[in-house]
Amino acid sequence: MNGCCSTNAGSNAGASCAPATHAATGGKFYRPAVDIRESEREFTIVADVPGAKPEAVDIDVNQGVLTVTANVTPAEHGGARFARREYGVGSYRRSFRLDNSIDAEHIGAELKDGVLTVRLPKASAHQPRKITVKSN
Amino acid sequence: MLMMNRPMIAGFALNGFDGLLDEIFNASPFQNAREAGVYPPVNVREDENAYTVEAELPGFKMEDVAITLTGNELTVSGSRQCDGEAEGSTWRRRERISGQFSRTLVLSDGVSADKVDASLLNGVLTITLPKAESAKTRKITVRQA
Repeated sequence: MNGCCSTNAGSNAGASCAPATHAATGGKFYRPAVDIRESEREFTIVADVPGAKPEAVDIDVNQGVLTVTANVTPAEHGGARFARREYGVGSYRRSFRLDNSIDAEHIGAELKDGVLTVRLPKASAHQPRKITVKSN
Repeated sequence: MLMMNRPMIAGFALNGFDGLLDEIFNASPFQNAREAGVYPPVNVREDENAYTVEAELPGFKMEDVAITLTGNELTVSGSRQCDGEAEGSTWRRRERISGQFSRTLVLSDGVSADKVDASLLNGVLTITLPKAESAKTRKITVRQA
């Protein structure tokens, strides 16, 4: 894989009922499933973060590591008991190591229907350039 | 079918909320449903008046999801495609589930079919199923003779 996004340390646990401990922060987070695509101009990370609201999503790049956090607070349900419990509700976090082909200043993100899309444009020096040959 | 590197069990019929799953998972009802290939994972809450069924369906719109209730058998089915905008790009990682799913849950008490309500918000489906009057616990007052 050329550049971008190797998934960082953290945990190998899926988004299970018991959130994994995040290596960097010590907090408890679920690890969202992601798709990553690469085109000539950018990388795109798509993450499933059901239950997350746009204002609760935090994306930062620190020392070449992109960290995506989506804070989710479990709802209160009064006196209802669980008749079945297959997933836990809580915040999501996952980190990706970026290489220097990414233009970190222009990373953009949007959240829709519990799906977070992060676009990481490649720095212009790493984009394909077409050279026009002039004739005299 | 769902495209994942594990076999998926589509239409996985669960016979009662507390029975079959425990057997399969060796008495561990909190086992990760995804690891077992069941999609979507659901949580069910119950009080004396209603069931509340929640399922994580990120990227789904209400028109992608069908909910049917036959007697006390609730079926949730739908599909999601994750390969939009893939043209001109190369997959580097693919973990998100794509394709069709169907799940059936058998509710132990009868519900009022005409009062069932469903909403899909931020990728979480919530179905509220009020219990039928006949299924509610009734307190019998014993008269003094």
